[in-house]
Amino acid sequence: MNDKRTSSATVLAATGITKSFPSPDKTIPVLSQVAINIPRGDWVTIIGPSGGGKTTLVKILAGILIPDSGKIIIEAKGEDPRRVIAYMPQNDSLLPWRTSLGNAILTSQIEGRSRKEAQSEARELFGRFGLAGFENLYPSELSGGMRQRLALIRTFLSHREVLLLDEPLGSLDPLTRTTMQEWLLLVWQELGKSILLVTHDVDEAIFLSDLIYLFSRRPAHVRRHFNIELPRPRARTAQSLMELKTKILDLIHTETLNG
Amino acid sequence: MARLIKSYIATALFLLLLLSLWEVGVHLFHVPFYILPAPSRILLVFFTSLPLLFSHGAVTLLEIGLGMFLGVSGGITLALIIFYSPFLESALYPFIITSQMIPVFAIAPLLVIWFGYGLWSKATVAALIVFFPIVVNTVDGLRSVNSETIDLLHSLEANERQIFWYVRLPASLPSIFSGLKLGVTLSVVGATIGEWIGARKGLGFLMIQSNAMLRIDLVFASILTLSLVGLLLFATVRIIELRLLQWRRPRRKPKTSGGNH
Amino acid sequence: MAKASKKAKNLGRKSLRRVILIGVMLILTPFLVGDSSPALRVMLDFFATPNHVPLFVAAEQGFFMDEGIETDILIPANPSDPLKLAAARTVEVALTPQINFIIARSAGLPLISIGTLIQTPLGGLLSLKEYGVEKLADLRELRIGYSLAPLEPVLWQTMLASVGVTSDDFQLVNVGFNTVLSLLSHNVDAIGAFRNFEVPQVALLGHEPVFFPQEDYGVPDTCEIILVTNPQLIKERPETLRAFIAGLARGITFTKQHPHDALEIFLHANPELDDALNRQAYEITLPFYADEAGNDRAEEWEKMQAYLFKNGVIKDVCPLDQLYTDQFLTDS
Repeated sequence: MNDKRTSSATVLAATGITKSFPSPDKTIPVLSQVAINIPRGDWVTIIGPSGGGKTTLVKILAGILIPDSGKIIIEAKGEDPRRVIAYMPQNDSLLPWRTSLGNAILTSQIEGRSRKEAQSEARELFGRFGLAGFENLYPSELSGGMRQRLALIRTFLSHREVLLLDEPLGSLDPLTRTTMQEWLLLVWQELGKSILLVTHDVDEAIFLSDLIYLFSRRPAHVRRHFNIELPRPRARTAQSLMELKTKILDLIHTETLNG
Repeated sequence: MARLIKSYIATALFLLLLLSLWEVGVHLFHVPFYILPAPSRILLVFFTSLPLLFSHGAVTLLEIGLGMFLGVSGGITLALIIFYSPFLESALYPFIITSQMIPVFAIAPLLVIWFGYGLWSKATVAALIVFFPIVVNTVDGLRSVNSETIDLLHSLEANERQIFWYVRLPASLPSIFSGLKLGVTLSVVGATIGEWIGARKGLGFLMIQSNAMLRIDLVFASILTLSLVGLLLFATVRIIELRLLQWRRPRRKPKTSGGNH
Repeated sequence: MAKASKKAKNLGRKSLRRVILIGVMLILTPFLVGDSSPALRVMLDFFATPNHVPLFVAAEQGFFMDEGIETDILIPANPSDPLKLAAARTVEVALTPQINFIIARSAGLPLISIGTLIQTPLGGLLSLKEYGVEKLADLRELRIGYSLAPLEPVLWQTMLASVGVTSDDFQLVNVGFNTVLSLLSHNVDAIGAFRNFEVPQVALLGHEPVFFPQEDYGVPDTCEIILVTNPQLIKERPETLRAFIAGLARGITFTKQHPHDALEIFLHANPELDDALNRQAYEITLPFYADEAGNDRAEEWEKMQAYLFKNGVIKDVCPLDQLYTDQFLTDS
């Protein structure tokens, strides 16, 4: 299964992103001259220490926050640039008063698509994602893994090319987590999206990504980036992966020590 | 289902116990009938005066309905204004709170001049009492919405109207219903007090007139009728709430996904 | 683990028992602590007005003290309380209109009249000259405001019938407690009113009152304020009641002989009532205080009871000796 991406076109390029937040006694700089690229069809991951502004960057890319300075260039392929990026927040933000199906079609409804059309599309994805039969249950009646899958269906149904996933697997237990990682990989390969993942989990990053950005502490900038050219499916315990992991962990470790 | 029936039976038994204590107490302590009648006497008057209580009750119920309509629509409107405009919030909140401190007899003359002695002056008193819990609860509900959900919708370029109907309103419904349950109970009191300003019919009117004629058993029969009206209204709101907020009662525990996806 | 939970359960039960015990004690406390004041509790018919001058005079000048009793003058929360509380013996003496007393008696309250404070009727219908009303019959086709049914409607219907206006030809509107307001704002054209209160009140507000006394239009004579008590009290404390009536009669005599001093004494005890309205009301009321606190005009009692019975205001009639007693009157 050779999935080496030949396209080098960049779907999203961010440069010089800087952001500070005002607080009662002073301003807190969160991002400083951050620059990242997302090549079309690739899986890009951001790793970094907690509180390091990763979520802030994602929100800026999603258009929810406005940076103090910097530029974001989006190759929209003829579409409205704002309709290129889909954002999946850290908690699944499922609406408790809608059924699973209702939650799935939320994005479609907001974009003005007909309900019937959205529903049939959603049902198809339910089938593919293993949630068939659960359409009429409420989120409170689903397990953690199923809720994440539902949130992903919702994200996919917005028909956008670039998906920003902010720690989507953070609340899952280790077993479910690894299962979900494999599942995500399959889906990504099937649907051909471009993904930007934010995570703490180094294993997760090296298992999934084509490109890893390592962020520094606040004010965050890109410390290092790693291209991973290994074919998939990757063996989690492969030597090259283990070496990479050690390298990254060391860097994180020194980063944390150097206040 | 069995548990529901059991709880009804428990309520009935408890009620029977209270009534028995009351009945015995009144006789044991020689409480005069014109101070506190025995339940047996009240029930007798209640059943023999049903047509009278019914016709007065219908009037009070109508006042309550109008008052709820005014109070709820006014309250929710005010809540929306407060939620969307912090400036208006700080400007209006002191007035809203003060409105609850004003006793009815102080504003009665104004109400009479504006609305006369008909239904609307009573409905207004009820509305004044009702709108406060509605405003407070609705604002709290609107403020309780998860900001990450709002972020999500913003990322989809949803406009504020969409955000309101898809997220803010449904998320606030539980709080709004809390306010409605409070409001509907208070509206009964409100309509009754409104009738003291001047009325020709209604249970509040009947209470005052019966009291003046020293027919205290009829006073209590009116109070009984009012209580029944209040219970009926509360139950109605509760039923609507259960229907609209089905999602709050999970039918089963979270399922684990079958298979290994 | 099991032992700990068992202990918790026991503690729970013990605390629950304690809470219930304390709760019951709290509830019972008011019943155990009685009101054991030796003073005679006299409850007014409603707020203090110049109607009550002789009573306050008797209290302030020590007329009751001279007879050997102490009095406590109380104001009711609402007008039907005095009768209820006197019947229940929470107060010893209550002031009340004769008509209201007969109604209470017919409703079964154990009460009996022992004296009178105001020996004439004070009520009637009040309109304003500016509404074009000169004689009572002018109220045809107009609206009359009242507070208390079914009594007031009966009185006003009697009055209008006596000048040939039937109940189909005018409208009765319940205006609650704000009768003067409804008249002045022209929500109604006439109201039930007292000649010594609402009449001077509207005059002081700049309007010309037109008043029709009820006794001139077919309503039997009545005493506007009488004194009542529970018959049991007559058996138990006759001397106290005799002393009270004696003191009151002296107060009335003093008021009639020294009206100016009497008014000052009253205003000293009720400083918030010192205004033009109350002073004027007093002047009008002066001739109405009951001589010797007398209440024994048998024919008047009979006529009024018969009137109320005939008009369906009361369901039964009482024999006169159950309505009033003259045993405490000073010159019987």
